[in-house]
Amino acid sequence: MYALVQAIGQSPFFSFIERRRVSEQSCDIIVVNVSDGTYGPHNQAGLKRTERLALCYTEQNVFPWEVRALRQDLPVTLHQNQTGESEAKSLCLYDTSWKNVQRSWTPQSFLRRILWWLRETANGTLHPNDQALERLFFHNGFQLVLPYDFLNESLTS
Amino acid sequence: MKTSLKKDNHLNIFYILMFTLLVAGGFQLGFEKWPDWSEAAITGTCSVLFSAVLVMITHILPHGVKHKLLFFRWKDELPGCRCHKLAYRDLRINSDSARSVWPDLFNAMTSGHQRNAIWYQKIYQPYKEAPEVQQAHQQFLLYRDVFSGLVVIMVLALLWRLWGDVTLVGALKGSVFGVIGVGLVVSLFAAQSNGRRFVTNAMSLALLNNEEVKTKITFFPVDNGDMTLIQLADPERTSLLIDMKIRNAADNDNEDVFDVATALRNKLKTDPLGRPYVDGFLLTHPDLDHCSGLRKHFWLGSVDDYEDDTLPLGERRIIIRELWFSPIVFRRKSDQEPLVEDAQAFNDEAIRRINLFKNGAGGQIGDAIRIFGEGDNGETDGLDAVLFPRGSQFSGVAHRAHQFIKGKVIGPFGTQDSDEDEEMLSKNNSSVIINFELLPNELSQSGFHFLVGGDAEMMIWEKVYDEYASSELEYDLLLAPHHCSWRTLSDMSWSDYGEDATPSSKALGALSNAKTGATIVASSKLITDEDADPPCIRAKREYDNIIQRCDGLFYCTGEYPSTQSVSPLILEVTSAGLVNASFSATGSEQLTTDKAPRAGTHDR
Repeated sequence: MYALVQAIGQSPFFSFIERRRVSEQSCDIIVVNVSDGTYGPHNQAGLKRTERLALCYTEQNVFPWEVRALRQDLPVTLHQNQTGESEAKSLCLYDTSWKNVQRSWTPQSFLRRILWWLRETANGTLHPNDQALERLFFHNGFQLVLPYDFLNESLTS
Repeated sequence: MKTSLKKDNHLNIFYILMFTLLVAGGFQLGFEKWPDWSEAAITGTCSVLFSAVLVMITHILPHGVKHKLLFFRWKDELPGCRCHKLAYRDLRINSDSARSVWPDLFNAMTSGHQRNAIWYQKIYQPYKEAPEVQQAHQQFLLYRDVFSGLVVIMVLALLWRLWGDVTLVGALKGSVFGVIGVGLVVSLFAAQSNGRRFVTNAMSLALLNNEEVKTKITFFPVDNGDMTLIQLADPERTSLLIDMKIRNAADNDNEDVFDVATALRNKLKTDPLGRPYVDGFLLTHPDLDHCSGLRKHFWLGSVDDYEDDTLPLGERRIIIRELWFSPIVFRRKSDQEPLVEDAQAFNDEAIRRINLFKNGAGGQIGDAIRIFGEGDNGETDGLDAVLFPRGSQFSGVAHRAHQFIKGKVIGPFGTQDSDEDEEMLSKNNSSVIINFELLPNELSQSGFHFLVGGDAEMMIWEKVYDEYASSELEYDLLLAPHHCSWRTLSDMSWSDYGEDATPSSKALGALSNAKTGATIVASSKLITDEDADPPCIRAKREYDNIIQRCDGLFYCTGEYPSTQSVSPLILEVTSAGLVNASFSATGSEQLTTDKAPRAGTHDR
């Protein structure tokens, strides 16, 4: 967390607002204002030039880092995580598991990713034309390993 | 423009071939004994005549044969046929950009011949007069023809060795072939290298100018001072420089001050003679922090007398095609506030152009002038065609880009009714104030407003508030007047009154007409929480309030992108509004400058 706060302090595009802790969920939160000016005020997604975000770290989560938008009227855009009805919207920054992200995760790359998400969302280019569609259902966390002749067996039986 | 590159090379080819022949002759006949005059005369004359014949032969040989010899290829021998591969190897060329701009060049189905034709028509032709392209082309032709001439010499020498009359000069020695061979190898590499350079120079230049044409505004970091470049989206990329400040320290490599002169020059276009130019230059008022370095970096005087053509491009003075000038600011100079030398030079240049205009000889490139604000004592009589009084509107720069730039003249204010007011109109308060309207591109219907006000102080902004409707003062971009000075907003000194100082509601009202998402830029030093003014932290707070209300952004050139290392702030006008284009790809390279800890070491 300290490294992230340092990276925020060194970045011209992030302003540190406050640090919070939600004890029940063991969640550490850094609240920041983000603006790098790389998208216009009249962008098609309706993002503001300065957005207030909460950078949350919950160690026990499968993906410990999460970014929540602290604006009630943040528009619904592509690539947001499922949240409860009254909860702050959650930005979907990565399309792979924490195991893969962890290897190269740094506070700087995390901040870059946030800027990237905002810019690409504002410009309507976050989801490339050749990227697969979003899954209809979530991962359930289980893997089912079947014998190689399962289909044959099931067809003959 | 040079009429014939090949013709210019004749003498050099002749010298190189003659030198090679003389050295080879020396090896053949021996250097140890000095030849008698008749022998020397015969050898020298033969070398001269033979070299002249060789020069002719190099021109008789078909280009195709020369190129096949030079590049050891029977087919698709020209480097243009392989320009896609050369682009990958040249660090100046972003191959991804090149691929998107010229997809056919990178298509595997495109033949070498077709590729060369595309390169020739789309890349070379538009930039064939650019100095860097022309120079590489000329060098390529020179060494190509030298190589061809040496090949002929080598063939003749071999034939002579086989069937020549040995009683005439004796059997040709191996060293003669060695000399010709060295010449062949050197000219071969030089020709190949310049041929490739010729192709990639044209590509890099074409790519540089092929970037999507958008209106851009660049704020250079000049400490407390102004230097703003507007580049319009018209096909000619018309440019307007508003004020300039190039300190000696910024020109000194040993000083840790950002080199604004080079940054500016890199953005300017050059004319066919290789002279850098701005289409327009507006001096808002004649203070040192707005015109410092003018004489050193800009050409003042008739373009016909331009003296810098022989200097390296980076040292040639910049030509001002049209000078934007307010006589009022110069009239209000006083004994207490004499003109600095650069301002005096600007004034002299303006007078030169005005006199030319009055004599019917003005308006040419480098002589044109535009005047803002009427003079009081008949100073501007007879100048109606180039005069724009306060409240008037104008368009274009240097007779072009009329649909891309318009402006409303808000100031300077002329003679005041009361002596007190007149006394207040110092140089700062006589600053030219213009609300520009810039178009993002030629298809845009609505413009984007950029309000510039030099160093005008509170009294002027109160007058502006009284005399202009808020719609006339609306802006998408504001250059915070007087480097974010508190005096712009209040007459209560910040150092005397501190937090008790209150802003003038009228001055604040004049500068508060920010449109949604507006940007305010302070061209100043780092803004600190101290007594300094300008820049003043209290003024910044007022501007922060303005941008918070409109979801805008505030930048200070003295701390952009970081306080440790400043660089120009580049804003781009898009259909979605103003965008920070200072960093081309991510907008956040700055973040990567510090070594980051590895993941998994969170100190929770």
